[in-house]
Amino acid sequence: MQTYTSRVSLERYRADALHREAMCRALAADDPRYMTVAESAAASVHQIDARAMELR
Amino acid sequence: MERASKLRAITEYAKARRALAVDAERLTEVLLPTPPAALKKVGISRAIEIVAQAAANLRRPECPASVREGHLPVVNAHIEKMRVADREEDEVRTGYYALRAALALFKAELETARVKDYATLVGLVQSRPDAEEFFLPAYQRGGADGTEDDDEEPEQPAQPSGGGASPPA
Repeated sequence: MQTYTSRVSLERYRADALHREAMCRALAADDPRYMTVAESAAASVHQIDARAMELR
Repeated sequence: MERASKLRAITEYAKARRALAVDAERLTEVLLPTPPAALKKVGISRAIEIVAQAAANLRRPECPASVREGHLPVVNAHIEKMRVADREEDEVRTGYYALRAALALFKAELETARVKDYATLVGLVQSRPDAEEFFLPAYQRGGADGTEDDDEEPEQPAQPSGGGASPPA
């Protein structure tokens, strides 16, 4: 996993979390433990969206 | 705003200095010794100090009354405007740095969540390379601004239903 620095844009963090959420939701049909990561990634997306709203 | 208010203050200071030179040239170097050109080279804080000292000198008894009455109120008004502009820009700068710090902290929190997810996924898939697949690289490749992916699989064009032009794969 490539470490993100503060120079990485929030959009990139968001795309990364969405990517992870989608993969984990797809795999959760085989193993429900993937849902833990899917929910964590979804929470990151919500936090980023909330922060973006604050900044506007 | 800082620069604009400083420029206006220097203009008024220069007018006062010229008026003093006309009325009492020998006093120019005593009461208003700093040339306007030198004022332009200093920062706003130092400019406020110099012009405030000049205003104090214009109150001295040896200063001709015509110069004092004609220029002191204007110079004082511009000193205040410089102070306000300096304070406002300081507040904007402080706000900007606070916002930047808050954003860096927020990104650090997101990164912590990523690391935690990675650890969970390594445990689930039992392979670091497989766990890597759940994460995007920091920067996309290919675009002029480094924001476009160039490694996506090309989409297959939709096959027209009922058409026989395309040979089967």
